[in-house]
Amino acid sequence: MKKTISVNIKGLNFMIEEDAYELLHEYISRLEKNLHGQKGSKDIMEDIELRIAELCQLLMSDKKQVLEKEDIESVIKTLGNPEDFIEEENETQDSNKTFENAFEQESFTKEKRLYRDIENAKIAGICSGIANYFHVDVIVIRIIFLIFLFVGGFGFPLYIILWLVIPKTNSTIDRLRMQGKPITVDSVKEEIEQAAKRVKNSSTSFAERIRKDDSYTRRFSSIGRLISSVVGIGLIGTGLFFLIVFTILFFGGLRFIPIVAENGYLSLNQLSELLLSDSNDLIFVYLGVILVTFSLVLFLISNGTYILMKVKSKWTKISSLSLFALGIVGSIICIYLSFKTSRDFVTEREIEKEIASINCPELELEFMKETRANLDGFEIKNGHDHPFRHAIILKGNNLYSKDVEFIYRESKDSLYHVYQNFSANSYSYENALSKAKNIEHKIQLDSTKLLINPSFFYPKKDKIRVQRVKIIIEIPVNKYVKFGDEKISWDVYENEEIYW
Amino acid sequence: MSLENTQAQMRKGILEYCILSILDQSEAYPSEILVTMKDAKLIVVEGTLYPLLTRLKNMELLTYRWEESQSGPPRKYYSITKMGKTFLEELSSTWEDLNFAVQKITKSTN
Repeated sequence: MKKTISVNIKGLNFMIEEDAYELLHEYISRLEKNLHGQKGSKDIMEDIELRIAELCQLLMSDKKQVLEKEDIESVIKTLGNPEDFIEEENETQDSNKTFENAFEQESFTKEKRLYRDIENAKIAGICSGIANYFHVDVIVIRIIFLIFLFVGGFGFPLYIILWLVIPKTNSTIDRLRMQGKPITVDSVKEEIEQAAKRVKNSSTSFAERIRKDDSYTRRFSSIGRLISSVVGIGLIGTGLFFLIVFTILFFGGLRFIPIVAENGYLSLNQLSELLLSDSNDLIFVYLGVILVTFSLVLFLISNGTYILMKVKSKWTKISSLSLFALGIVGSIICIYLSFKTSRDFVTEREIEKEIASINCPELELEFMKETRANLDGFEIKNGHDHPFRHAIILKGNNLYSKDVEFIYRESKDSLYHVYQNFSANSYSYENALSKAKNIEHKIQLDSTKLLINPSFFYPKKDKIRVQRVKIIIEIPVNKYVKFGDEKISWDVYENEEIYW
Repeated sequence: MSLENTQAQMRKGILEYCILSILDQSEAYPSEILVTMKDAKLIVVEGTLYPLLTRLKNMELLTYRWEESQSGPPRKYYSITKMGKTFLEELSSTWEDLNFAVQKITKSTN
């Protein structure tokens, strides 16, 4: 007694003995295996199965209702060994490979992609990935990278960029694509076997070696992790540093702005007071600056923490984005304020008055000694520029400046003419004029000697509005002005200005 | 091995030529083609035919249609396409040239 099974081959029903069924089943799976990956394998399978059905049917008769093992053997003999006729097909196809065939094979089964080969990696697998892609030895690529690293130095950033851009191999399929091998059952199997071997042989990859350590170091499982940790700590450190600096600057009342000085430096508060047209805007200065600086600080610290702790969620994105938005808002406030303040500088007005007309063979210029001593030890040298020329000094209710400029011109007659020119900026003509008028500058004529105060001052309430003083001296032709050791004629310096 | 390879290559081209010739006369389903080819002792195992048919079909030299059969499974009737006919003509002239050349060479050397 034998067990029979009912099978359906291409719409035809057959009773088949169990061992015969197994034989047939084995034959069909062998066929499928051999045809796998071949173009039109489905059609071939269909045709062959139809033929099997036909052949089986021919064996049937009224007397014979069940397919036996011998029947299947004869069917198989008629059809032939799949290894024989399919291999034959492949062989000839290979040697007769037409352009069309070659092209199809490339695009269908040999899809090749660039991946980072993390299993053969020294660092992140960039070099071995590239080597796989171009089918060259990885040593060649590594040497090229090393050369780039030392010559020109862009090897490092290039590596980092490639690291970010190229995906790593996540699956066996990826590995096959990387190597440009066709993705078939056999190749996948082979690749998995090789992978197992690689793991067994304890891969040379840095990542692999470290991964074997305890769970703590797993966090730093490659140089990549190490670098991200360094970056994270660096960001947090920078953030904390800025936090301390900004906090001291804004809330510690420290004087740090060197341009405007009483004892050398002013605080942000004092500077804003001297610059802003509307003192109510002070609060916005603080708001804007604090928003910009502290959103930057928090951005650095939070992102540093995320990178260090490897946190990656939508919250990290949201917090980064909102900090970015706050920074933008702060910047907009700052831009608005500087725009508003700059409106107060648009109109310049100057007033000029003649102080003296002197008839003498040689006019002598000299700085007033006593006032020089008052000026907190900023050294003044004749005819030379110095870094604190534009320094503005706050003393009591007045602002002192040394922005005194000397201009020499040709006199139209035989007299020396001395003019004093005050200028200031403001939003309106009238306002600028009143600010210019508020400037006080002393010049004293002592027979043929002109005593000039090297500094001038104006009231603090006028704010800093580019207040300037120009001393214009008209020198008659062939005459000189004696200034210290120098003799100046109107054309010696042409119109070159001498600053103090 | 190399003999097998050479034989396989020789046979394959000729097989394609023959399949096209058979179908040029009338459309047929695989079993009919097999009968003709087996009579001519062109093929030993039937399996050889199917990959060739599919290949020719994929090259658009052949096409097929389904037909129900009362006695068995549905039949796939293959017929030659216009492109197949042109292809066949080329093959025929090549075959004649080759046949002539082979005859001449083998006769003169034997």
